[in-house]
Amino acid sequence: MIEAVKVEREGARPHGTYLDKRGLKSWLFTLDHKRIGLMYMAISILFFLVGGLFALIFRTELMFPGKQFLSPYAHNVLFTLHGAILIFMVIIPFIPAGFGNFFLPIMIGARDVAFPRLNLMSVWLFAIGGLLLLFSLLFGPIDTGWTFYTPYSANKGLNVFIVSLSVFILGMSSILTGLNFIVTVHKLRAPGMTWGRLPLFVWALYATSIVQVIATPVLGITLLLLGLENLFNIGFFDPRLGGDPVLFQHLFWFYSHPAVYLMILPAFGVVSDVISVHSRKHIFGYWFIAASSIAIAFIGFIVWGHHMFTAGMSPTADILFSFLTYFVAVPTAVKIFNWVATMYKGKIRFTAPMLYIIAFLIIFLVGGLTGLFLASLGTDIHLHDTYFVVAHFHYTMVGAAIFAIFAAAFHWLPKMFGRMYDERLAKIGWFFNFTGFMLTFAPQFILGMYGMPRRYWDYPAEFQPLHFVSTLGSYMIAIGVLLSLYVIFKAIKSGEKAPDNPWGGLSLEWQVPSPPPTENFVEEPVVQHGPYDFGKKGGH
Amino acid sequence: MLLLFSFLPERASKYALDVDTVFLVIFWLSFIAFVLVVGAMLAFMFKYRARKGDEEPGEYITHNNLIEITWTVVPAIGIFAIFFLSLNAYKKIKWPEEVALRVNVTARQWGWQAEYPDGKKLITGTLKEEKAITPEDFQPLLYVPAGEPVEVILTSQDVIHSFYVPDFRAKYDAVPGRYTKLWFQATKPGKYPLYCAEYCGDWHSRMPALVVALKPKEWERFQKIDASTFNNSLASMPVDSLLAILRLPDEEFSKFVGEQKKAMAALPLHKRGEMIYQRLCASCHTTDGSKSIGPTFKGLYGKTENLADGSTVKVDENYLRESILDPNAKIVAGFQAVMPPFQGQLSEEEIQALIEFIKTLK
Repeated sequence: MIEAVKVEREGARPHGTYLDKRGLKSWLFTLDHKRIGLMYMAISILFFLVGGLFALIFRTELMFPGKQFLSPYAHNVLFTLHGAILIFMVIIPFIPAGFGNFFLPIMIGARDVAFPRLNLMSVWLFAIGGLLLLFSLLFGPIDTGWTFYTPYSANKGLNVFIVSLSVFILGMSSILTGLNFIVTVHKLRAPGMTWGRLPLFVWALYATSIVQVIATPVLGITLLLLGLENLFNIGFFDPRLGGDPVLFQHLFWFYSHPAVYLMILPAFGVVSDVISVHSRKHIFGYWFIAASSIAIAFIGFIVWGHHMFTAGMSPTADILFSFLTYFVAVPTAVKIFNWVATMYKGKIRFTAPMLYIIAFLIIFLVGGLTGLFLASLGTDIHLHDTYFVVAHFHYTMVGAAIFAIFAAAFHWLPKMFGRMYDERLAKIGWFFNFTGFMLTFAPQFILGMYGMPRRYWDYPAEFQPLHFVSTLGSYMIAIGVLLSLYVIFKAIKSGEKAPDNPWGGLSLEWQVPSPPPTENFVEEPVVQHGPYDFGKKGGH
Repeated sequence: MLLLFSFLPERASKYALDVDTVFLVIFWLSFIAFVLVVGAMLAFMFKYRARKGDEEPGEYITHNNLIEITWTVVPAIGIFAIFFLSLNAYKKIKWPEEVALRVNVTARQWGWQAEYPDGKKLITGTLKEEKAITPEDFQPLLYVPAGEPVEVILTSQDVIHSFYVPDFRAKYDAVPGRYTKLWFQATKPGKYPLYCAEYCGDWHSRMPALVVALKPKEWERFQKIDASTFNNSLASMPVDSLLAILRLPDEEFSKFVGEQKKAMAALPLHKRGEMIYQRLCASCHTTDGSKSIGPTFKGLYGKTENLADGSTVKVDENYLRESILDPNAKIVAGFQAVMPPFQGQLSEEEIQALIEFIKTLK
């Protein structure tokens, strides 16, 4: 198929751009991976605002002890939807299905993904899953937590069934994207694009895809069982019907722990690429970073039990899962060291994307190190299901994954739309996001150490000052997010024209015009150097 | 170091120090790692910042296997050291040396119930008011001897709950349909808050309870009180009042217990029924006509109930008796079959008292 791309050059921008076609139909039925990526991102941004708003509402309720304005049920619904929406509709799909769809084919020198129609189907399934999630609200919003623990979730009826169906469909979308990416990376690399010349973003997406394809079916099956249990009273998980509630937890975490890596691995890929380009320096230890992504993807499958140290597993299982969990910490630590080492003797430019990466490194380091307390059997028993866990996973999920999304957004915005963003405003937004994040979640570590359980609608007065600070922090994040989105949309609408390669990047996406033409490449690219060869003698 | 200790709750159980030691070791190792990594990053950010107009790339350095292997192996060693250290604490949390007292604790939506081998029973309820939780809202669930290992056998009536006493660093899930266990040894007498740590629905945050560790003398006294006296007149008492009784001089204490027994016997039947109601039924059945988890007791006696299967039944003594002992036999329309059977848990006299009490609620 590569041969078909051979077209002659005619002037500066002969083929127009992928954005040229207008009209709703040109988007809904497009087979262009770039447009599909943008549609994913548009849907995710909408849900991001909704999920974030829910968090602001319940954080306001939690500012003071006692009832403010939410009933316990309303509070429980809000934290459930906040989690379910942000995980399934935003953090999991955003980088791989959004940025990944847009950039993976360009980065390996392909015209599109291997199965463009399947790709379109993925985004449709994604939209249908999202709509179904909203539709379920009509049947009484669910208050099961995003974890759906049985038997609490086993007797709810139609609403839990519809939400499980929605997540089942979202999972199918995720599987199809993963499958597509694996085949694309194997079959559609341009001449000269050896495995050792793949950008680390591609390696990260490749590792993510493996997890998506292997783990997601288990979630689908589990939620289908839960849905059937709710609809027909079949006793899979409810002990009153002869089921086993802990079995659900095993099945659920068998997906949902690897899902943690679904969320963070693509972010790792973003960090590797952005830190190298903005430090103007070869990434340090390419193979260690690539291999650690794959290692994390595989080890991530055998650590799920660490969510269940107080749930009733045998001590042997507890000890084994704790041991394996520590294993995952090693490749993660290696990545952080390599990123910091990449900055050594670089020429670091403090652009907005670079600032987000610096924030990412600090926050993710805290997120990773606090994971040690939770992997440790002795301390986890005290900290499990407290605010310490809430803080820990927000440090990894928000602090790291969402910050990587912002880094990627500012880094690639000039490429995607051919426009520059307002650097000064973007940095102010970064300041609000970073400070707000620290204010929101650092106090939650202390709350958890004191023993404040999570998912509490009310708490004893002694915890109040820390909750108050946490809520103020969440308002700062709200300002930061809105400001950043304003910067992004203003740039898309009326930003200055961006050059094709504003950061001086070496990977293929920077060698094509901004915004890229529909076929990505004017001529079939032949790859002659690695994506990070900054400062190489006789080359770049 | 002291500052960090102050962020952890009081250390009031035997293994709390082991847990906190692991906590501190991980904390300081992490702290060192954090300072080194962020310190290096900040130094590089300053030293290698691009000057204005400098378009040159950085130096061409791609990798260094020796360094990379070092920073793979060194953290791996540190991390596994933490694993073995924490294993030690885990062993202490998991396996008690010998057990002086075993108590059954059953969680439910939303409250706890403790049953002692001698039949003493304590029940805590749900705090459904809008006001914030205060220390007085923590109701006593367990009275245990300080300095002795206590094992708690956990289960749940409905969904998963979790028994969590931060001051003891003790936590374990209460899972329906099976028993789980945890143990602790309170190191000093005192009142220790107990929380539910596994999300269990609307009032998850409103089932506060207390574990009260008693001095040896008080514990001896506690054991001397017979179960029916305790259950009928002392179990629902505020902690401080009960502690005051346990601390009475010997003579006064025996006198008090004797009086309680007599008073109980002299009480009208429906009054005794009301005490049983407060202890066992009040969390699900109201007496003011409002709807709760179960039907209200107000005006119940003599009324004709519509049942879930479409039939009707007239509420008389036999129906009430059956509904107490085998509640799932006849379910009132509009309610779930969630009440536990009390077969074998109430004496014939207690059932009569309860029915007598229901009759008074016109």
